[in-house]
Amino acid sequence: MPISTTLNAKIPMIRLTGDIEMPVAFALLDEITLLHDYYQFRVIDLHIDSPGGSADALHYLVEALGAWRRGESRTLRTFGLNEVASAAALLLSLGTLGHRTAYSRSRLLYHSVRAVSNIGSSHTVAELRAESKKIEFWDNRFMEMLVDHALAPATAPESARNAYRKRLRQVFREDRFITSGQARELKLIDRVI
Amino acid sequence: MRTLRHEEAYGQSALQFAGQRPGPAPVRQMPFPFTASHPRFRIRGWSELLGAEEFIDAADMVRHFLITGETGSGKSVSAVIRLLEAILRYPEQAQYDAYAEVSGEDAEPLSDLRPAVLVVDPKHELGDVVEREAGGRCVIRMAYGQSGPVLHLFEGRPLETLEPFEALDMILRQSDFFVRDQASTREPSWNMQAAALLRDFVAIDMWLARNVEGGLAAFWDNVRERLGKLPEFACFMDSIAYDPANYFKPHSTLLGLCSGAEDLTALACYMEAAEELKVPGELYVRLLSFGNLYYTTRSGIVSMTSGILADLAADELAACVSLNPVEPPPPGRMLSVKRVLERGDLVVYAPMATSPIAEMVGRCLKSKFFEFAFERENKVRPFFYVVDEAHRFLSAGAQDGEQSLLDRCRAFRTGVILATQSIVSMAQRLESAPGGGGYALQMLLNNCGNALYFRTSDIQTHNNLQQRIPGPPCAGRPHVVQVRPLTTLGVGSCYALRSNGSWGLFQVHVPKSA
Repeated sequence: MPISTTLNAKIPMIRLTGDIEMPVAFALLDEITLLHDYYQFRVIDLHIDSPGGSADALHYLVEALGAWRRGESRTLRTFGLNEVASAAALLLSLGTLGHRTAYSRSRLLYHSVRAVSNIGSSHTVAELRAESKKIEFWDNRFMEMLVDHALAPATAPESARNAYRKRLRQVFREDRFITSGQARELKLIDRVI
Repeated sequence: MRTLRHEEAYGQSALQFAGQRPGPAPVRQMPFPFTASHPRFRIRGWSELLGAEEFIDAADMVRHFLITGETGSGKSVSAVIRLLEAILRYPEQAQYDAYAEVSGEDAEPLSDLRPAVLVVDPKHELGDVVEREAGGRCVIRMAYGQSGPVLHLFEGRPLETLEPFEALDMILRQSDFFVRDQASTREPSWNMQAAALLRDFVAIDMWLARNVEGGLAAFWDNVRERLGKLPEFACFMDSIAYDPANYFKPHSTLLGLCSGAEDLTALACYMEAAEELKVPGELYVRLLSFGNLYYTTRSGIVSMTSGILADLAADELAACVSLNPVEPPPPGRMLSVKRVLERGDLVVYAPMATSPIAEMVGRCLKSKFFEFAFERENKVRPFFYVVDEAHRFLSAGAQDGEQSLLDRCRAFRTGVILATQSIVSMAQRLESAPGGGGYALQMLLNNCGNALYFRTSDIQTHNNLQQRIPGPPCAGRPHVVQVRPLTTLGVGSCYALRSNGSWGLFQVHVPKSA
């Protein structure tokens, strides 16, 4: 099961494993809604161990979790467990600010959005152009989310945000695993345990 | 067999006259409920439950609050005091201005909308809040066993037409001894005979008060004079005198002197005095019959009557409640419930001890306030009854029991805040009251549209909460109360059930000024 929940009286824990695809995104949202609306939890732990998944699913997920990301009377504490890559790494970083944690032995991979084509598939120029635009949109969207999350426009000067954006782009372009400590320096997580 | 004959001689039983005698005609019992346009109440600290503005509709406010939680769970600071403040500050100026603008000429005056409040404060946590928030209103403090304002049980009843049946019925409803024994005994005839004996005493007193000027005092002086001739009674003479403040004191002493195996001297003196003052024979003929009973039967009745009078003739009760059916307390000392409700005064009763009599006083106050809440002239003014340790003051009578009152009173702008340790403590109290038991408790709980459950280990409270909150929307998941039991809640955290059907687990954020 890609999603499993442990209920206890204080803080419930959801464990997310495997690829993050649309069905998993829906199931995760349903679980968080149940814990919030019925079980009345205002703090939820999300433990992530995933190689990543679909940008579309991630986008849907992080948009739906906007109130959690912003910490509006609720807290989503994200934990990177082992391998946390791609969409999973972004989900980890888009948890409630101040509550994003990774283990010291975790491997984190941040990269730009990739297009995955089936072998032997063929595309027209128009199709490739559309795909390119879509990828560019996702890339910018996720980048802005991360920048806004770490350095909110209301509190950080534009120059600092630009410098941070530039630094993140470089990490994304390098497309390699980084340590939890490096992620913390990049403000992609808050705590290493 | 002898007991049966005696019962026949007495004829009328307490049960019969409690159920059959007609009460006074109701006065304008037309409901006058709050509407949606009335100013809302603001409960500070309840933003998680009520939203950022912390407002609750007036109509919801009079659907009553049940607040349960163990000591230290935060129920007083987080709920009772917050609600009391909201009641005492009602209507807040901004809210009233908005209401007045919408209602125009139909707006009820702000001064009329300020509630009258009865607060029962056994833990001494609420009296200071009342003083602080009184805003110029009169605060009347009553303390158990201490001289102060006195409630007259018969306020609102014209004493010149009051009948002994009705008078004693009202008195006995307040007697813990009588009420509990009546609910649990297998031999109600003892209770009935004791009640009939008391009724005869009351009937004689009422006749004297109405037909002989200064008759009641003269009568008891006469009895005392006769008894005073006998040296063995000398030490009791101080108590054999009419005492307007403690009406049953001479009766209690007299009966105490009749409990011996063969000694009927005191009763004989009583009847001789009645004869001398020309009390009609039919009023004391049953006392003659009583005197002729075999002494074991007679001492059983005396014992039961003395038990009833142990409550009713206690000085601690007399300090707060007058049971005198022939004259009210002096105007300077009388707590006029009618006037309190008309003027919007605030009454704080502090039962300092965990005494049954302290609880009787609380129940007397409650029943009297509710009686007038339904019949008062000014139905615009809201009335609130705020009671901490509510299980001690519950009753289950058809007229003054909470299970009956809560249902009716919301239409009369009357709200109730019941705070208690646990539901099982309420169940325990109601089970020992006539008319109580499971249904009375269930009715009470059903009629508290708003309920706050703070931390407690009481299983009955836990079960009740689980029944009131719907199950999970997905099959196979545990109930929220099983996942987050009441024992795990922090201070000031509670399950809240609203009268509009919503529910949630919320934390009270006590204002810093509190």
